[in-house]
Amino acid sequence: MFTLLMIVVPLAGGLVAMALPGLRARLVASLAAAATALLGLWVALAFGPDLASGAASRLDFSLPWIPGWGLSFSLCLDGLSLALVILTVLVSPVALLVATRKAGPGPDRRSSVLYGLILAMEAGLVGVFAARDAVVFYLFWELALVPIYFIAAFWGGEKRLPVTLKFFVYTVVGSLFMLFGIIYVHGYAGGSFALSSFQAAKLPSGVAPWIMACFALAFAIKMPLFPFHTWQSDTYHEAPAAGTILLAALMAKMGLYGVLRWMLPVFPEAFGAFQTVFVVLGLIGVIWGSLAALAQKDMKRLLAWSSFAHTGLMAAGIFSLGLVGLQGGLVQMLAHGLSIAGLFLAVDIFEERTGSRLIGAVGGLAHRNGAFAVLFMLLVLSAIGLPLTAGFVGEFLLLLSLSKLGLWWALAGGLGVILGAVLYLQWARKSFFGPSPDKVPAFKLRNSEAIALGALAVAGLALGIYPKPLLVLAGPALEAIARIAGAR
Amino acid sequence: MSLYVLLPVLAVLVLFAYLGRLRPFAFPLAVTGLAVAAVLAFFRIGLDHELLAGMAEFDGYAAAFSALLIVATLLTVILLHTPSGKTEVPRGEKIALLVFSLTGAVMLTSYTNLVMLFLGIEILSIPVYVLAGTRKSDAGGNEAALKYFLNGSFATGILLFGIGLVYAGTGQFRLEGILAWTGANAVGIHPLFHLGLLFILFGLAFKVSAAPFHFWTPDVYEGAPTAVTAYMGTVVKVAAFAAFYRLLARALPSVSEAWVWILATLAVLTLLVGNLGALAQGGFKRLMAYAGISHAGYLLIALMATGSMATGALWIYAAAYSAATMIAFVAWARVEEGGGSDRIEAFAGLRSRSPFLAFGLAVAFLSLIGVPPLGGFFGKLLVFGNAVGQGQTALVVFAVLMSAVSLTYYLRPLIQAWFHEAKAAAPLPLRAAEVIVVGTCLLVLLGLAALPDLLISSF
Repeated sequence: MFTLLMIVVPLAGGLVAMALPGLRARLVASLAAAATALLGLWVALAFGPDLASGAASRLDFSLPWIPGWGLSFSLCLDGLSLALVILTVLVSPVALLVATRKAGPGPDRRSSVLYGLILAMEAGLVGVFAARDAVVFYLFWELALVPIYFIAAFWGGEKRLPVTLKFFVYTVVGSLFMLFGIIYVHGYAGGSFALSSFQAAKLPSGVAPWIMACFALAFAIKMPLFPFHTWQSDTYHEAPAAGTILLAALMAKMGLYGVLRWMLPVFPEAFGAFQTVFVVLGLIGVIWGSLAALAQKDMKRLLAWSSFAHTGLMAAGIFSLGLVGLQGGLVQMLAHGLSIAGLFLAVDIFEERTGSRLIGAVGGLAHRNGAFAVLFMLLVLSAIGLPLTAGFVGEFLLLLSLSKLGLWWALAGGLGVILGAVLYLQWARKSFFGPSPDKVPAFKLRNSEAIALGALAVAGLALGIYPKPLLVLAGPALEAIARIAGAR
Repeated sequence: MSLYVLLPVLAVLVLFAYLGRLRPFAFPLAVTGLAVAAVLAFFRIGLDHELLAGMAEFDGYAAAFSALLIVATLLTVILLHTPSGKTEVPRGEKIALLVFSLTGAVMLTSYTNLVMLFLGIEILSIPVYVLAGTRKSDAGGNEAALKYFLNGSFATGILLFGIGLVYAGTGQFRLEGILAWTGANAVGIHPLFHLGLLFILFGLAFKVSAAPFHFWTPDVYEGAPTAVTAYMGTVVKVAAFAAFYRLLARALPSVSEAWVWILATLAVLTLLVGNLGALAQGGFKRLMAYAGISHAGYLLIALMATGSMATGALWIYAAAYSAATMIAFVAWARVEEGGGSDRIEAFAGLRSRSPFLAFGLAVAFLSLIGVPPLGGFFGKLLVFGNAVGQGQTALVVFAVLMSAVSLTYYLRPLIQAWFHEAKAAAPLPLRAAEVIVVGTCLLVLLGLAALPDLLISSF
């Protein structure tokens, strides 16, 4: 029931917000986002110990939909789902804040729609992480896409239309293949769309790799995994700040979650045969993304490419299949979600106050606002994986898991991490340190900006210093996946 | 009581009311009559089961499809009452012609005899030939009417010839009779039967505008008045598919190997022509014509499966397709009347000119693409699922690929409406009739998600 509430509250709040003008829309949207976040945290506290002990989840909800076809509207949260839901309900308010912080008092209808779409996306994301029925999963998978398409195509930059068209077509083509895969597996799953039936389905061994490829395509495009990343940099660049945060911090996680939940457990044998291919694709992404990021002048593009590299490392670690790799993947998903949301917010603040997003156009910002520089550095340190930050825990576990697969794999991943450190520190040096800028006056952060940046940075630190609660919470769920996927 | 009587009487009453002093009552009469008929049909209240001495049966299948067709006609009538552009023919006649045509459509959902199939097709088509040409001074309208008439007559001729050949081969007009005969003579079926079957399939393929019998569609859609185009795109197509499925499921399941491959070939061709053709279109009505052809391809796939799940799939697909198409044409009629060109670019800035219509258009096209949780998604899910269950995996893969192609052309009007600024930014006030029609269709598209099982289990 609480699971359903976390979908219904943002969705209803979003719809109401769309219908209201100006500040009232902002109020309703903020309330809905805050209520969902509080609900998520409360659920984690109340049900977390239960889930950590491996007991059957009581956070489930099921309603028959088309019984003749074994289709039911079933949701359930286990530790893995809950962890990602928490990330969603914490980051979505940040995206909303980015959208609302500049809003004036006027009756601006267009902004109301933006708030509504952000909340609709939040509902879709929670649904994706909670779905336990393949069709319901697909439904929320698409429900999360439509709002972000409208956000990017409406509030985006100059070249938004061709860029978002490519993004939309790319992702929907992937989804259509997944839909076909779902329909096909259904035939072998005893006429049911339930996750448990999908896991029990025995596909003919000649067909299974193809059907897995249908799922893998949808997930690879969403992450994105090399070579399906060509939409990413442009879309992140053109989307407005709120949209980029949703895309990078949350939507990319849908693909990784899909792999964990719907690909590895459903096609363990088929995946085993092609494991190396997937690991290599992930690692190519790590190197490729890091090198491309080094060459970028625009901060948003730098973050986009570095995000691609980070996602590649997460994917490679998850594909290495050990429990350690899965744990590392989960920690890094949260770490990356928190830091990248903060960094995109920082870029937006940077652009608003200095008038430019180009690295090197303005330097020495630390002289103008020290607090901003400190918060930015905390986020950067988590992004490059310094010890005591969440990024360190995640990357360490991922590399450890890769090294069990082969030392060279781990070295390739490690190279990406080093390149990442180089590029972030260069960026920080050029933009925040050095002589104080002439043109830019001293500025203050808005309260909302300071709170959001601070919360994201502190959450990243907390997760880095003491990641155990997260690992314990998701332990049984990840162990189950590792067991099924490893027992081929 | 039967709809075969009720509907023509309604049409005649509307016609006379319009000619006489009761003119203001003609439209309310038609709307009320159709609404009552839809309720009677859906719940089968007071309607005879067996009609015309067993030539037709008003069963659950007929009830569900008739209700759908009556509602679609009702929406067209509401649209016609507030027509776009200048009209030359009194509206009462148009409404009457639509209701006459609807009678044929209802026959197609309930026939049990090939003779009734032929009669239904004729009664369905002839009023539409007239309606397509109601803009008498318009060259495009005349072209549309003539092309529709010539192609339609040709198709009916082929259909009739096929019926004759099947009779020559089996000695049966009745669907049950053909089923029994093919069951009893499984070996050594007379070649005349197969030839006749082929002709019947081709005749029906003409009516549903399946490739390679689709040539007339774009020109006719483009030339006919928009409300009539909406009627052709929804009622005529759905009725023809209802008849198609009834024939295959009732009379020919035991000889399915004789027609499944024909349907599969037609489906592949239709999907290819429809989707690739739509890519190349600059005019909106031609785009919708090709999009309609592509949906005929998906519906042809739906015909291959049998059972209540298959019937449900066909119905849901048809309902979602009709609702979305209706919205698209309402939006188009409004934009066209507001002084746009016939190009897709005429939708530019619809978001600011009429937010409700732009929202409706977005929902309609997302449903046609198959985005959940809209009706079109459930249509596709069920149709593809049934086909995979029948072993038509390759065909479904092809259909999925073609759905991917369809994205690009469905997004074009949507992008115009939402993300481009209008050249002439005058607001487009909607009439009550348009709000009602679009609102009803939106309810259908959203409601199908909530109730698919109720509909499937009603068959």
